[in-house]
Formats: sequence, structure tokens, C-alpha cells
Amino acid sequence: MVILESVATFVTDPAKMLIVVVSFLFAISTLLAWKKYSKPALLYAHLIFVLSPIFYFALSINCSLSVIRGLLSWCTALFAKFIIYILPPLMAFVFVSGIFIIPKLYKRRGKQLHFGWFSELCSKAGVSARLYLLDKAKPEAFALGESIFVSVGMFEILSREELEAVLLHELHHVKSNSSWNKFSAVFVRLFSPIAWFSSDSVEEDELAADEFACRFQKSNIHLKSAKRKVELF
Amino acid sequence: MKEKVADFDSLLSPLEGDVLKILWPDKKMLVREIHTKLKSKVALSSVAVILDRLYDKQIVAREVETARGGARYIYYPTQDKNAFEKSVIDKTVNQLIKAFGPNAVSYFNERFRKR
Repeated sequence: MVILESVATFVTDPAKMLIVVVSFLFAISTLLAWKKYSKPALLYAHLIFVLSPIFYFALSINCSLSVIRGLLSWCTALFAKFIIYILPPLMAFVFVSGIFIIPKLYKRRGKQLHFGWFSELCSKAGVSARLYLLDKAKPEAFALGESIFVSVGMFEILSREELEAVLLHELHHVKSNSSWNKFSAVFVRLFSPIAWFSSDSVEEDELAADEFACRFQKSNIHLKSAKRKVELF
Repeated sequence: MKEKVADFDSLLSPLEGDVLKILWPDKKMLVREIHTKLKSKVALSSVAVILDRLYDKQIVAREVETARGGARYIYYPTQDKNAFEKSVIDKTVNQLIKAFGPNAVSYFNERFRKR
């Protein structure tokens, strides 16, 4: 039972358990700090603090498969091997996909639009962004980095003022780089069990974007009307 | 039996039928144009939903047009009225036979014999 002995040695070592407890405390405090300040760096710090004790534990297990005895030993060894060999490449894959591959795929699917009125809107809002059209009837609009994607359906059901309200909302996301914040929140939630239980601070990004649009148009009528029409679809 | 009868609802709703009548024969129209011509008062987004459903069923096709600072779909039927009606009848008969088996077949035989 070499594996269970490794586990027992780990949990009964005060120094090791102190490291684990301190790491988890830092993990919780960085998560709380992120909720207050919305800085993605805090999320990644949280992830490091959550995963460090887990890696430390996995590395301390003597998990040669030839010495496995019993189901509990087998499970522990598998867990350790997953943490050391599978988790890091999996995280890297998800991160690279989210940052580079998915936006590229959307840009390939979409058609870049060069509308004078959009350039003017960007200029007045003080934001530089590119507009892409998605061939979808369902009204959708979202920002990824410096690109805004809008479906054909959005153009069809909204008036010009309503569409401008939606685009101003998305331009605020571009300006505040909140798509990076959203992606970071999703990414960290995937790999941190503690983050599963926290609520989003991205709601504040949405409220700020709404406020930006309404302030720019000096009214909330168009944004409200746009949201109502989109909900009806 | 209940599940098989429910299959018939998937053919066309009344509003889908109204939209198709406007598009036949071989017209190419925008969502807004169809919305204007519809007699029943429905929201523009409802018409867009109907057309999207008809597109999924491959009863209509569409092209994207980007012009005048906007983008929109131009919808047109994939079949003329006759071809569409024939395909509906074909599908209905197949569903009846699938649901009711020999009873459906003998009913059709009797019916056509009387004619």
C-alpha cells in the first residue's frame, strides 16, 4: 500500500498541511479581491493558489502503477497522474483555444463590414473596433477582443437607433477589454473547484456597458427596446 | 400512438403557410416586406423566427445582402407550390402508413378503388 502510505505521510505532515491551508486561504482571498476589483490577474493568481497544493500533493505520491493494491490506491494513483500529466496540457489547450483559436474561427465565419456610420460611431465613442457579420437569423451581438460580431438577425429586427445602442454596449466591452475578463472567469471556473461557488463579477461589466450606451444616446429607450425585441425571438 | 400523431404538427403551422403563400411563386423578399404583406398582426421578430424555421426545414432558402449600411436576408422558396404540396402529401402518406400500418394501406386501397 505504498500509495496510501504516501497519502498518510502527506496529510500527517504539519509543514505540508500548513502550505495547503495557506494556499487555500490565499486562493479564497484572491477570488474575493477579483469580485471587488474585476482584475483578471487576480483570477489567475487564485488559480495558482488553488492548484499548487494539488500539484504538490500529486507529486508527493509514489504512484508507480506496478505497486498499486486495492481500488483506493488505484484511484489515488490515477488522480496523481491526471494532475501531473493531463491537467497542464489540458489547461494550455483550453487557454490557447479561448484566446487565439476561437476568435480566429469566428472571424473566418464572419464577414467584415465597413460601414461609414459604424466608423463614425467608434470615433465618437473613442473606441477602435472591427465589425463582423455572422450569418445567423437569431439576433446576437458580442465582443471578442477588438472585434464585434453581429448576426444578420440583429440587423433585421432592430431599428438604426436600437442597433447603435447594442453596438455602443459592445464598444464598451471592447474599450474595457471585458471579453478578457469573461474568458478568464470561465477558464478559472473550469479548473478551480472553489470558483464554482462564486458568482460573476461580469454582471458589473454588463451594467457598465449598458450605462455607457444610455449615456451616449442620452436615453435608455433604444437599448431597452432592443433587448425586448431580442428576447421575443 | 400519441407520439406518432404529434409528428403531423411538424409539417406547417398556419403562420408558416401564410408566409409561404406570400413567397410563392418564386418571389425573393425581405423579412420586412413579408411582414408588411401578412394579414395577421404579428411582430417582425415572429416573422423572422418563422422564416428561420422554414429555412431549417429547407422549405425556403436565403441569401445575405449587405447594402445601405445594413445586412438582411432575402428569402425565396426552394420549390414551387405544386412541388411543395406533392412533397407534403408524400410525407403525410408515409407518416400515416408508419403510424397505422396495414390499416392505412387498406384504407387507401378502398378509397382509390371507389374513385
